Amino acid sequence: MILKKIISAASKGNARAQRQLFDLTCDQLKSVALRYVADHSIAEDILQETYLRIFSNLPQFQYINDSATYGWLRQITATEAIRYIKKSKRWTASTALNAQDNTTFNHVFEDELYAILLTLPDQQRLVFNMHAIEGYTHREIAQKMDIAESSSRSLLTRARAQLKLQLTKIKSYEKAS
Amino acid sequence: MKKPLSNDIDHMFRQHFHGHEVPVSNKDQLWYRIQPDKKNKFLPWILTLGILLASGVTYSIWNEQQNKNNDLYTDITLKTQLSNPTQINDIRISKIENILDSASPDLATHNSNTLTGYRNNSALTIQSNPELSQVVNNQQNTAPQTPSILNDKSTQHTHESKTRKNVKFLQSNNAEEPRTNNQPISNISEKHAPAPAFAPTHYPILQKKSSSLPDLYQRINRLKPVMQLPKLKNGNIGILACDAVTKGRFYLDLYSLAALPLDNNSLNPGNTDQIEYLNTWNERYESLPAISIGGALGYKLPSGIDIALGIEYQRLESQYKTKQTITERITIYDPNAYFFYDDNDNVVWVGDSVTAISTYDRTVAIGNITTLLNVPVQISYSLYQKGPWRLKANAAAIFNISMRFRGRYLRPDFSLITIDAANSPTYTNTTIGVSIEGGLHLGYWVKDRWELYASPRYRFNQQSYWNNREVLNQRRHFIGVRLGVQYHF
Repeated sequence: MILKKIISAASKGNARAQRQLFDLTCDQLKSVALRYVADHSIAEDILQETYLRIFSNLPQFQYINDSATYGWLRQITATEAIRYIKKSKRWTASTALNAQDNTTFNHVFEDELYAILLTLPDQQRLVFNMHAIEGYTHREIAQKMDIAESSSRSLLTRARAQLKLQLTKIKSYEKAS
Repeated sequence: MKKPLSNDIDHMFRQHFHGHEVPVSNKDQLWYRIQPDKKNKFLPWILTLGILLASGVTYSIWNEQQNKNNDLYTDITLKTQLSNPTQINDIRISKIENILDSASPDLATHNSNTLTGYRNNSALTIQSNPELSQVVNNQQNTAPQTPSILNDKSTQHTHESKTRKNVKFLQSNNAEEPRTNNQPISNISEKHAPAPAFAPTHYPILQKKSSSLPDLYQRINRLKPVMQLPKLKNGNIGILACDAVTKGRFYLDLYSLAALPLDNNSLNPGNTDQIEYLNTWNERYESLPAISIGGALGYKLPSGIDIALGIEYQRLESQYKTKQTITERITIYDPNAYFFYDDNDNVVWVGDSVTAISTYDRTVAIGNITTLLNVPVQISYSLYQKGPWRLKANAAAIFNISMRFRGRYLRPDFSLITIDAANSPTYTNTTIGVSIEGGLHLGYWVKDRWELYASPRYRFNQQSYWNNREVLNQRRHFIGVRLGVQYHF
């Protein structure tokens, strides 16, 4: 109910409500953005564009429940992240963390699953994010990313394999330590 | 940590990231970039104020430069600083006529005490003008030539007063420029001043002196205080790029730098006996505030460090000062004439002009111009950020690629020579190498991609402006404020 009131006021241009909405959701949306770009400063840049879009679209948004609202916010964040990636042509694995250097993960990210996800090359991580976490179909992914559906499936398969491998390594590392 | 299974890995990640949060590093900063209401609220006023401020500073600097440049280099400046109070020390009647037919009786009445006024005014001394001396000497012994006519006022009623013309000043000087071997100081040939409003007085010449001479000297006295650095309100108008504000990594920086020179003059090795030359140089050469304009293309590194490469034009001016003793003669013409009466109110002489000669000292400044073309390479590091404000530290290496001097150069033999583009390399270095610059950078983010900044800086110069064959080793350091705008791509 709190989120409903905030959304209602923010959609009317209430600055305080907009700030409340920002404070309430920015950490969660940064998590979404970070899954795509693996860079904190870029993720916050994406948040900037995300909230500008959120505030401009709020008057048209129809509140149903909190879950649907968060889903809408995450969807906008993902869309902005994908737009950024396409615009900057970050289709290389250069920005991903070194997959072999498992010992650094815990220092960089307290969350191991986050760290493992960020070890994926950009394309694999993107497809895995969109399909496995956000729920996009391969057709939607292909359309958004301008790739073939088969490529999306292939990337998803390789991402899963990579994730399993990393999870196994970490498990072995935990046992050894 | 849950044990991962290959078939539920999607589910595991989905569950894990449901509601997952990663704290935003600086919510206030991010919110400032987002908040819809802040946009354009004060922006038009800030931009207008900034443009007006920049325009005003630019115009005042340009105007100051223009005023100086009118006299700089191509000719000797006439910037004068009066050191002695001026007084009329010689009064002569240049033309004496008996124009009693045209004399106004009213004017004659008002001027009846003129001669007495001369006698009583200690500031005036009547010198050996033969005609005037004759008048004074003849007052008691010789009957004036025309008193009877003037005294008989009934015979003069047909006259009408003429309209006064502008008072005309003719001025010359016998100025000398010490220790120069060419190009004498140019003379003032003629000056005009508006006629004082007609006001009947007992002391017409004194009246002219009080109303006209100060105006003349005010116009001569053109040595104004040197340009002052623009004062910044609250001390924090300015610009610095904020690497977190925009997505792009590149930015364009346009700026102007106003700086006070701090000259460091010394003798090159082997010339320690030329101390008098060094002292003369220190006494007579004065560097004026310098202006630089430039632009740079910067790149923001993820570590909060900016690197910028640019091009900069710098203009330095200096003045060679010397003193002159000026004797000038001022002749005041008046068609209504000057009437000189004796104690019995008899007109003894009528003159149409009065000449005053005054002597005073003035300081003459000869302008010199040095232009430099620099390539600055700057590194900035972000120190502090809050809201729209940014504070950074700067360090820069300024590579000078061209240096030209035009003006007068005092040689060790105390002769002044003219240096221009042709003979400049004979005496000056073509470049002054690398200068080091450091300072702070206070920026204010006015819009998504625009930042204004003020940056106090100190520039240290390592190399002399004059080549090593010269006796003098002159280095110029600068302390100033750089104002600019940055556009972030």
